[in-house]
Amino acid sequence: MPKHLWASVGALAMLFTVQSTVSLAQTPKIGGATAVKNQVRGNVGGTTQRILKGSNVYSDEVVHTSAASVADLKFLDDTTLTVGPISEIRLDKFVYDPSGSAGSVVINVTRGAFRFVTGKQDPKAYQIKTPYGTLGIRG
Amino acid sequence: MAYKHKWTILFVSAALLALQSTVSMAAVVEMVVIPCTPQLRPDECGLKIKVVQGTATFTTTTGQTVTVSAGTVVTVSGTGIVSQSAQSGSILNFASAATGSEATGSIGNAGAAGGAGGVGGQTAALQGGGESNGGGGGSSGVATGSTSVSTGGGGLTGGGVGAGGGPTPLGTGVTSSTSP
Repeated sequence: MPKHLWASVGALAMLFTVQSTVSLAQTPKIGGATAVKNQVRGNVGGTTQRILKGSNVYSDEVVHTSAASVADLKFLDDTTLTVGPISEIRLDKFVYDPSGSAGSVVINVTRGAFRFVTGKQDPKAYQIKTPYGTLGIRG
Repeated sequence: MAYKHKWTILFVSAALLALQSTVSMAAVVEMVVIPCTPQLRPDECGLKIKVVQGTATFTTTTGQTVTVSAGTVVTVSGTGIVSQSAQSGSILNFASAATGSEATGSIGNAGAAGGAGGVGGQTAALQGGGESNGGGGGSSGVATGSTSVSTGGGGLTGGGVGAGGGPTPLGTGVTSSTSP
């Protein structure tokens, strides 16, 4: 009987791992965390993971920072985003083709503070949405 | 001889063009977003954007469009009033994670405390223009709580704006301390 129990627990754990992997695999990687201070979490596809230095970030991921926490994110097009304490942002859209065709980066800021530096793409490709309106980079 | 000059001019022009493409600088934007909640007064929430480098346009939810050039700060109050001003320092009171320090200090004397204050500090920065009293709010934010925007609001009333009494782009200028 205990053997069965262990088997069930093992199977459940494996399923959970597979599910997490699948949900992350379904969303494309768009960059990573270059530095993290204190508690930063990312939620993608219903799975929450702690973001540490070197962690990947994915399209559609929601990034939360706790008090006194900061995350430096760098995307594939060299865009950098420093997310300040008690912030929440969603990486809504990231389209980048290094060969130069038109891309698009949309970040949705729910709350908090951040610093955004555009990357290699045409400045007009970048948009930041907030509850108060939308900022479009022009140049 | 004439041909030689022509080639020199062409070469220099090409070099200048290449240089210009390389120098084409990234846009740098700072932003503070404090969503309005029932716990916050309309003057305690809003949006503040600073374009540090480059240009941008901001379109409000009502369709008003504002062009923001480098060095300009746009503030949208909780009631939707849009205002612009010039500001030299950063509107943020935290440093990047890579630097490891608590705050940049560029907001003003009290900026260091603001770094730890999180949204509390940023609330004060939003209210106070960030030049002299933003960080103070952060300090109080830490003292009064640190997990939600409403506790950040505590930071605002606790010390930041009260202590500083600086310019208030959003209009009201809270000048007294009301937090416990």
